[in-house]
Amino acid sequence: MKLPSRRAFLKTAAVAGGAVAGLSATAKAGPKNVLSPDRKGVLVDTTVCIGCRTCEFACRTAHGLATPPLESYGDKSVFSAMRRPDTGALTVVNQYPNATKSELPYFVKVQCMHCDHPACVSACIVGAFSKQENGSVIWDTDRCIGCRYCMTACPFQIPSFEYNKAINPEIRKCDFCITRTRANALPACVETCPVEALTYGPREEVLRIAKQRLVTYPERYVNRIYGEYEAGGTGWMYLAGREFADLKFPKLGQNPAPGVSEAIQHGIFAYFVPPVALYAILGAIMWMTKNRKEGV
Amino acid sequence: MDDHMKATPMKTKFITPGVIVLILLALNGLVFLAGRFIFGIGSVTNLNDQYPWGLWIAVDVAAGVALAAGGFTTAALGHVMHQEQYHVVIRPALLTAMLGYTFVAIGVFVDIGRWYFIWHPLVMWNGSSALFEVGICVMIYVTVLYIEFLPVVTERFIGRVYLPGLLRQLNAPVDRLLRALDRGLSKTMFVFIIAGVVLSTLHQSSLGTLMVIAGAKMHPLWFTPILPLLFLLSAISVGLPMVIFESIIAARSFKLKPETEVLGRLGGMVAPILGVYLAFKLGDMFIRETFVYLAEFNTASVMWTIEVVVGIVIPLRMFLSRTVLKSPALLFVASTLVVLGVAVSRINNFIVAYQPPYALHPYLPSFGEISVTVGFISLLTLMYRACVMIFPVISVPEDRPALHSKYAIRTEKS
Amino acid sequence: MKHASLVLALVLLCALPSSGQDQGSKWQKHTPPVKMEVPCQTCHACPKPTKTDPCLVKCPRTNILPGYHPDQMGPDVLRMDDMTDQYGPVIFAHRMHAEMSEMSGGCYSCHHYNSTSMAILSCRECHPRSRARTDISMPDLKGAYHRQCMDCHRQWTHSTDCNGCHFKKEPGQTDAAALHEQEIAGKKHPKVTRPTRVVFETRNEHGSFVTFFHDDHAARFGLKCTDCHQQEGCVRCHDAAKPVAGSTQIRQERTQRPMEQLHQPCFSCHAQDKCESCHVAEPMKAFDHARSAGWALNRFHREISCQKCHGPNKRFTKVDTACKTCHKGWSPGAFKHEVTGLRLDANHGTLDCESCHVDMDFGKPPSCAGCHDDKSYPMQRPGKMITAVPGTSPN
Repeated sequence: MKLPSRRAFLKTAAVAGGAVAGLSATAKAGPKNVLSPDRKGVLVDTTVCIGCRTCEFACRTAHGLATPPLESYGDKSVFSAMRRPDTGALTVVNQYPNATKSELPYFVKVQCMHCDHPACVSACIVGAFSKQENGSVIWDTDRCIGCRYCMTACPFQIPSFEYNKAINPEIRKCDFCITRTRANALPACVETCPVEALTYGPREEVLRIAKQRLVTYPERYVNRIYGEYEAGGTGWMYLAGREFADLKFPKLGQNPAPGVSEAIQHGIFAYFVPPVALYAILGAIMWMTKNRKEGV
Repeated sequence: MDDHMKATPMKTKFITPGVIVLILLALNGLVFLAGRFIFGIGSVTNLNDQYPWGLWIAVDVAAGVALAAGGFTTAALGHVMHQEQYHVVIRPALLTAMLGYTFVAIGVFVDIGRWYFIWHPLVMWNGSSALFEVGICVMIYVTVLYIEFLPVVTERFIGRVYLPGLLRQLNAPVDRLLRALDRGLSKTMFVFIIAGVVLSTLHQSSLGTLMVIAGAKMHPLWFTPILPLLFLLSAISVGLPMVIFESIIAARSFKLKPETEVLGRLGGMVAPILGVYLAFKLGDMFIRETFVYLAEFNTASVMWTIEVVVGIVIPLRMFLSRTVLKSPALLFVASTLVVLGVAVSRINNFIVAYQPPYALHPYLPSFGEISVTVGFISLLTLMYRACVMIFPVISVPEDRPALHSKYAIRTEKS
Repeated sequence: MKHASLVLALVLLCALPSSGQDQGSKWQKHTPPVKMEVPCQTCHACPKPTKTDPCLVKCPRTNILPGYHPDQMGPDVLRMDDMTDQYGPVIFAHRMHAEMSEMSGGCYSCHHYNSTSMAILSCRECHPRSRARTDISMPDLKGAYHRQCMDCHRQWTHSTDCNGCHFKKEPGQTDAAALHEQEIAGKKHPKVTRPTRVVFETRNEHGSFVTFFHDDHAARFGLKCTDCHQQEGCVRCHDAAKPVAGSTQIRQERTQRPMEQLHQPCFSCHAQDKCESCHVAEPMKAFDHARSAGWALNRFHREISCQKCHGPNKRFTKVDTACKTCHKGWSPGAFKHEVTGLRLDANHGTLDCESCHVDMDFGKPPSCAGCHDDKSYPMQRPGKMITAVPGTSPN
């Protein structure tokens, strides 16, 4: 390769460096990711839930998903296999046996946990996920490219993808009924639950109530609030009558899922210094080895 | 070296029995590819809500990026450090990287659900996303690779633009354009070369960061915060073996004498790099005490052992041996092991290590997925063959009948 | 304390329909500073309550007065139509449920706290109607209702169907709820069928079978249902999937409950017994006093409780079978034969007991053969039958 003169080299290098530095100004641009003190949360008391699955019906209705009539939800045979939320049902209820009272099994409603530090928001290549002031983690169809990195990243394995759609497949997950809550309505599942197994309110208040219940009814619960600290804290929190691992909750640490990855990312791209420095070093090596060669 | 060797388009028949097999494999892949675009990803793949990423991401994208690392390692060696004796391998490596990255881009295009929005990352940024960084770097790097390849095109076509039919009138303007490009590039090429190396370091490592966020779902044998470093080291260590690997295959395919001396010297550099990679991999394992998982006998422990023993330890020992460095056959074996080792490493990190909750069955790629991947590899090989027959990529000794040199053309016209 | 407060509650409740002045006499009596068992702010919202403005808390969250009126005094049928959006009202047979609740926690299970006034609080007085609210510490009315109902009802019907309780709103149709209300008004809970014998099939090494004589324990030992059945689940009786139990129930005990818990109801009396005295190879036959004690109970003795003869101790000891052991005044001559229901005629009245009751064995039928060749009891009687008055002491 033919090398340019020293002057041209410096000039071109400066222009290239400037361009890279200019990019760094906009590099902070990212999706909305706020942790408002007023964010909402839900306490799911699995010892109260009766497994009527009315929430599944309400959720489907609120999100315009196809649903059989409400009467058919009384069918208990669906509990024979564990179900997961998918593109056709953003929330599902599973049944787990109760060792001390076999006639009163436990029911666990599953949906997006609306993490305080969501992995999907951090991971999404185009920032299609965002964490809103009211705590909802929502997905933007106008941005999504369908790469499914959110699904890889989510510690609760929640986002679901329309694999059998060739055009405009969607990522679907519980959106905390953002359109309803923006209109000051309750999330559909919370509103419909006949036994109010779902307590909706500011996360701090919900957490306080959960702690109160653990104190008032110690014999009813295992002494832990799932979601208080898991993955850095979640908007939806659970109380249970038996170990959470037995109810198929993932075992997670207290660190936010995106923590390590973001630290690495921001380390590599700290104001673009490391890449620019590498660029400069390589340029210097190139220049020095060239001179040495020409000097010989 | 340069004095005796000259990059020349290969003159041989394109169609051979091997090529016919490759064409059939490519066609088979294209059939399934059509299925994916007509009926959706689910109709061709075994992917589901638990396993959102499979063979296409692990092999077409992750392994593809790693195995195209020859492009930036040889560029760093030859252009940045001015080790001129290696210039004979730069162009083949560049072509591999260019085609490799092209297929990485196509692989991404095929795997994402909304392929028509592939341009979104350019305007919708998320600075905290490792995938965003990989995406942007790959996009820029592909462009850089094409720019780096342009001199090969100008060298081939300046003074030889013969467009057919009515387009004949464009011959002169195209020729002028090529000359302008050639002039401009010769002054600024170093910017792109350095940029190429920087971009490669960035995204090769960020490819490792990708799975860090899935930490809780990753098997501890692979999950470590230094995944990006391991990915970068493995990419650097596979760069030269990949060059040796393809150089020997090309030589055999075009009935040339392998450049044993150059390849041997390249091979000599592999062992230290592999050694550093192995040291970091094992060091990390001992710090995190994950060796306990090797006591279990399961897919994870077996795959880890293959990745490390077959992919690193054995070739490391081979590259340390003088006998190996002098024998094209042994060099080929050692390089193949490294190439396979890194490919296995990518498959391990993206598929074997990924153990999501609620999975009913482990993920195994479907026939359709494998067909598409094999089809892409075949297509890539075919395009490589076509490119080296059109463009001056592979160097042959000067005394062989060759086209006029670039320099000769210039003087002729000017 | 418990009895006293119960009585107090009863008295107060009887006073309820009268004017408010009589209300809560106990409460109006206290004058500050008075040492009460509960802090002032439990009942009073303001720091200085006065007689005219006692600023009573509407829904105190502590138990003030442990005691409720008997279930017969509660309302019979309630129409719950507070929130009828999708479904119609629920007709709640309050009294019947109150009766049933006797063995599963009683009134407290629904009326968790007493009120500061004398009226018993209904659900709707404390539980808010709106689900969207600021105070989310207690469930809203819909949640409270369903929590009370559904734990039993889903065990009973194995379903969470809404239409079991709710009358679906159908425009233009007759008020099905009102019809149902009339239908169940005044209905009482049917008599609870009690098993005579329950055989437990266990995995004990001494023997598989434990036989529990329910009627013996309940009737003979004078136990009330609530003495044993205090926190019974509804499903114990109400399980739509199980047939109604007969007089003998065979239960295969396959619970994971610990030994102590499982045996607790028996150990209150049988703690001294060895395992093998209950765990035997075969189901036991019913208790037979003649077989076990060697002394058959006559029709009078069969009627009285065991303690009457064996004393109040839980472990019964052998009692001398001579009449005088219990019937202190029954010496020959002083005994009045009328207590047996047979007044002896003049001829027989002067005879020795032994003349008819051979060997003084009063368990066997009397014999006439000592004097008469042609007579036999009970074809011919030595006197006139009179109606014995049951319950009077034969002492």
